[in-house]
Amino acid sequence: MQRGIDSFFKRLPNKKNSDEDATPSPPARKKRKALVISSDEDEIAESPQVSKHGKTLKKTRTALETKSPRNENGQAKKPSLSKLKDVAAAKKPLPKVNPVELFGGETKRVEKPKPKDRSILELEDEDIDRSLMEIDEDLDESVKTVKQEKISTSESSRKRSKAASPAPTTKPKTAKTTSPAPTNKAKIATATTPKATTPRVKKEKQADLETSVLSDEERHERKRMAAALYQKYKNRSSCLNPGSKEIPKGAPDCLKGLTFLVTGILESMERDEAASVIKGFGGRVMTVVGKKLNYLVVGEEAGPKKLVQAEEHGVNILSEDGLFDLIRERSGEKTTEKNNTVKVEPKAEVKVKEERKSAIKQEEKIHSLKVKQEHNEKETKVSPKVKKERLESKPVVKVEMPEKTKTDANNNNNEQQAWVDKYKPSSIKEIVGQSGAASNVTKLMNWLSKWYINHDGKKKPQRPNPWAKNDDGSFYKAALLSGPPGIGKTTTATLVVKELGFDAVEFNASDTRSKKLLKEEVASLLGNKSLYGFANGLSQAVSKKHVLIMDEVDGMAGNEDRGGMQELIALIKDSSVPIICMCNDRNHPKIRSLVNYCYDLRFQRPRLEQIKGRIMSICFKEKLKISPVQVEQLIAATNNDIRQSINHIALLSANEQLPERADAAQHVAAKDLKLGPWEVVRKVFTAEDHKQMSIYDKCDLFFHDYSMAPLFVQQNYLQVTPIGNRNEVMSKVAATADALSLGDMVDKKIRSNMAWSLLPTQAVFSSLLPGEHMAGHFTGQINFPGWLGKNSRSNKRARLAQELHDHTRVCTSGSRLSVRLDYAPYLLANIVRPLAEVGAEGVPAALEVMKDYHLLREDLESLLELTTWPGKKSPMDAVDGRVKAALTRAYNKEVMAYSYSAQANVKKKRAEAADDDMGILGEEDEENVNVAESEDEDKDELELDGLIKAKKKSATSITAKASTSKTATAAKKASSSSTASKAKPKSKK
Amino acid sequence: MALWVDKYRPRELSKLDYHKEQADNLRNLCKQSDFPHLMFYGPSGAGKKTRIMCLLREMYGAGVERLRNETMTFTTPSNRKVEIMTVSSNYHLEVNPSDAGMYDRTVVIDLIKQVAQTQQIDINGQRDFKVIVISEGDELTKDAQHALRRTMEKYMATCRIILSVNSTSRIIPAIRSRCLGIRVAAPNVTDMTAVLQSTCKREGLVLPPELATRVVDKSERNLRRALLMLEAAKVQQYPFTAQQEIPELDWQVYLRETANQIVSEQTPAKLEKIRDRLYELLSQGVPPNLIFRGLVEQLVNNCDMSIKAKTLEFATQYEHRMQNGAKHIFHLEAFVAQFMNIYKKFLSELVMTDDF
Repeated sequence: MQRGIDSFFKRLPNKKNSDEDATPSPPARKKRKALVISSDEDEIAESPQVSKHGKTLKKTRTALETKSPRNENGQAKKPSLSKLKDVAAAKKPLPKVNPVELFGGETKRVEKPKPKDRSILELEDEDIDRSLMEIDEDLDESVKTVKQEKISTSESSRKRSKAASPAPTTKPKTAKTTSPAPTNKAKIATATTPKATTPRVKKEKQADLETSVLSDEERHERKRMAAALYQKYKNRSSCLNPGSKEIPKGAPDCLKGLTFLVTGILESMERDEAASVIKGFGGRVMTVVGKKLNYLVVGEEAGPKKLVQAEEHGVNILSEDGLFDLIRERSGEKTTEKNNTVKVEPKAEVKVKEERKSAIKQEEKIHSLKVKQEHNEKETKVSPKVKKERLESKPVVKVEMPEKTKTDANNNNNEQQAWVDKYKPSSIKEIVGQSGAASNVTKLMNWLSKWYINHDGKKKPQRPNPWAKNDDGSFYKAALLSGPPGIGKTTTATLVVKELGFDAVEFNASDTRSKKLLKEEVASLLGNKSLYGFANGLSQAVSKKHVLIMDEVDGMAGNEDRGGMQELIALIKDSSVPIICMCNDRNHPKIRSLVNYCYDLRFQRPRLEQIKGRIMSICFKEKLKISPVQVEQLIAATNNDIRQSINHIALLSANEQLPERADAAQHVAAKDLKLGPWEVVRKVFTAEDHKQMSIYDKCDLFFHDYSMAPLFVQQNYLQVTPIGNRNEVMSKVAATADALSLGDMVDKKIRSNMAWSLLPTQAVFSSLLPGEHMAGHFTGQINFPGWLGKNSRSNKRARLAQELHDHTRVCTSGSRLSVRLDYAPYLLANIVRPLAEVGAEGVPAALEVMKDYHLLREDLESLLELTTWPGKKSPMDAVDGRVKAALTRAYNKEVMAYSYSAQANVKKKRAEAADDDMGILGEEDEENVNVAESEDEDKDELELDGLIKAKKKSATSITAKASTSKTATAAKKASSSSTASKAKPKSKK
Repeated sequence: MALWVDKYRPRELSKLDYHKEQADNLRNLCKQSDFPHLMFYGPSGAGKKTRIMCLLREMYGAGVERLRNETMTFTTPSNRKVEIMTVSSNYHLEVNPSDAGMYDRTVVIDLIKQVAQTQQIDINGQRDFKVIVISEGDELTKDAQHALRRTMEKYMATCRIILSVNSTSRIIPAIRSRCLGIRVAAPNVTDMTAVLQSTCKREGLVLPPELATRVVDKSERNLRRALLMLEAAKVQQYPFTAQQEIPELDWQVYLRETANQIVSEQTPAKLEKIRDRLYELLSQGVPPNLIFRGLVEQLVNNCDMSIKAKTLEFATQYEHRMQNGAKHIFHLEAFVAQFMNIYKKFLSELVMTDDF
């Protein structure tokens, strides 16, 4: 059979695929499959033994190829079987693979050599062969009848091989179009007759014998080549310019009866897309080059074997353009129908067999379970977990819908899916903006894969420095993915978990997550061990690798979830499994406590270009015509939210189907843009913008930020040059100011009476009318509203004035206002004048005034602030810095204990505050009753008063007292003579 | 070295310089065992507070002058802590509830009620009631005033309330009717010059009568301001001369300059500069209605008869709106813009008629 041949040439990829394909992954293994496969591949690449059969087979096959058609048929089967054996052999060591190594970083996993004894291998192979024989012998009789149907069988087998080969990359995205292959196959599987398979087995045995002829070196060499090719295949890029060429609109069945095979990378289509195009026109897509093949569509990096084979078979080789040309040529042309049903039957049989074989490969010992499992497999194939495998084995998709018939069914299914789900990343590499070594996906992957090593209880990791840059989070038992919605947090978590093959237990906001429930459910869940693997025959039967995914942890709120957060933290502290938490706002007070226990992974919004690429490719796949500019607008409007962007284009596409609404669709993107206040105010006043705006649109501008909009308008309307007569400008300004004044009244009503229904009224006065009056263009820069700053400044000054009033109240009579407006300047002048006139000698005089008015040192600063006017010099400027310092010192020495000095001094120099000298205080404040009183109190309870420290009756204080009294007398003299001698104060210092 | 205004404040009713008849009435009021709640009203600088203190001294003796400064803390219903500074003696408590801003109701309810409820303990006190002096009573919100009115009735036995207000118009009628209103009118020019002269005499200075009259004029019959000005003038230049310059208050100067700038140029750019000046005035605590008044006075002086009426109309309109609005600057600016507009129109018409 051709399939065999083909798979021989492209052994490795085929092997992999056939493996996946033919052993319709048992549910348990689904998660792990990717790993298994890869380990399989590694195995092949490394150990020559495994490849032995394949290589020898190849030799034999080439020899056999020239034989009769009957032989050919058998021949084809042999390699496939042998390949299976290979896989089986490779599979064997799998159970031995340390799962920790498997999960702990993919790169290392590759290097792990699997110990394999050749003899054991042989034995195993024999086992398999025997078991296969058993099955096949029953079918032996039918072989003869098959002879007549040789052609059809070969073709069907080709089909099957196609399914198995890596070539048809049927991505889930395009499942709609590509699905015929899987459905075909599935159908076949059910309708199989046993006939076709028997000869194959026999031939295979034969081939096995011949295999041994090859030397080890040779085999090894081939293996290596094949491995290299496979690596290349794996790393191949996707199509270069998706959508760059127009697919011709051919007649419906123009390719009917023709068979195609697509190889390599086409320029404008993915391979599965090409396949779907071909199928769309009634052609058939094969995966193996065979006699029946009519055309080989070749792209870049086409499989060399396929080319060789195509030449051998005399197949026409086409480029992508050639294919399109062919479609155009043949449009309208009809070819005779072939009988499909005949072909299908034998193929189906093959399928069953194959499934069995794969089963054998995987579970050599548990033969009895095989059949049952296969049933299971079929049923569970649809499970979403399969998605994960798509990365490496796109054909798996085919298996997904075994019941579905043909493309239409598939199409329908996908049509019903929301685009967001349809184009959900199915592998971690598809997550937008999460590629690269430092990406969150990689970090999470590393963290998760090392989790069980890091937390095996043997070592205690250190809490990392919070500023450490490249922390791998090994300390943490939980990870916290935070970021805005719609950028792939949940997707990342689920995909990573799948990739690593962990069992995920997910709780999200739809689950009640109260303390009690979390404790019960999660604890019990995590304590469980999954029998999943066991039931499915993996020797690593009992899975211990759970991951708890707590989605939307910031949604833990309300009565139902009370205490959930604490319980979650407690859970994290003594968790035996990794926990992945997700939230939007990591600075939320509820989340903040959680953050301390989590490896913090912050998701940023992907850049616009990153999303754009994805959106464009979706648009292409959905055949939605949308301009790149529009896409950019749309993405910007959603604030770089991928999910929402996709929803938007889905809406656009829906609109497109309704022709009359197509125009409206154009507005969707533009309308949803959120404007900042700067843009709003620009739009409010720009005359050009007004042209396409209705009154409602203009009012809407106000609602972008209704608290800021009036302020912005008021701040900036004078920067606008209105259109029209220049002499009219002032009247327009007046009208605008009038409208704004009315708007302010409305604002007051809204806020004081909670009359929010008046907002539209305010919109008219504060935004629409100014815009109408002043429509023109901005000549100046748009400024941030000054009102906010000025308001806070006047509040501050009002506070200072209030303090001042409070302090002076005992001896003044004025209200707050009069103290501020009338007293303050004179009071300040009285304090500063002696300082400015006689320098340090004026200090006592100044201090005297301050004492009279019960002022604190801070009040002097307040006075200064309250009397400053733009363009006026501060009176304190005239005072020498040293004099100021002297004033402060003198003040500190003779501090007066007012009831309010407490607050002032607590804030500032508390230590110095109460370091007072009672004698002086008593002398100087005879008149001041309240101070005298407080003095008495001080004497009684010095310790109790926080204000007052224990007196330092030191010599210094006494001398200070003496000196100040001297200064005081000197100052009096000086003021009376009003001539200050500079030498005197200096000597005193 | 207190300022003259505080140094020479009369402390007894008998020593008051003007409104002597009223002083006699107050003294007679004290002689009776009881007196009703009082409401002193009159403009700033007329001597309300002085009279209140004199009255208290008359009633309780010198003890009321032993003042304490106390900070009291209240918790509002919204759990906000409000601190209020009070001045009190053994016989009275002076409080300004409007210091608490919008929480003045809490102050009225908590503090005043609490004080009012407590019986006077001091048996030596001449009166068996305390006095609560509420300054700036017209700043009280309506809520606070309503809270006050019940207190005034209920605790009549233990306390009297003396309100000091600038204008009764902002006091609710319910309170007005509960109080005996005592109008303290601003002293007339003769009274004021007499006060200035006597002050100078006590300071040992000679004050030319012309200067005294000028100071009185400048002070807008605000005695406090007049005394402060006089002292400043003394510092600036002594011996006094009749024509010497009287230092003005900064904000008045600034306001006048602002008005002059409005007249000088009428463009949006200028309006923006004016806005900055208005902001400055507001942030310095000059009440917006004073700004309106200052502006209007200056503008009306500087403009033609034909637009004076219009100017006043606008001023009243926007002042009213300002009272109903939240952001003063909006209305001040609107007034300035309107004035600029009519003034500019007037000027251009003037030019046109000149051309003809």
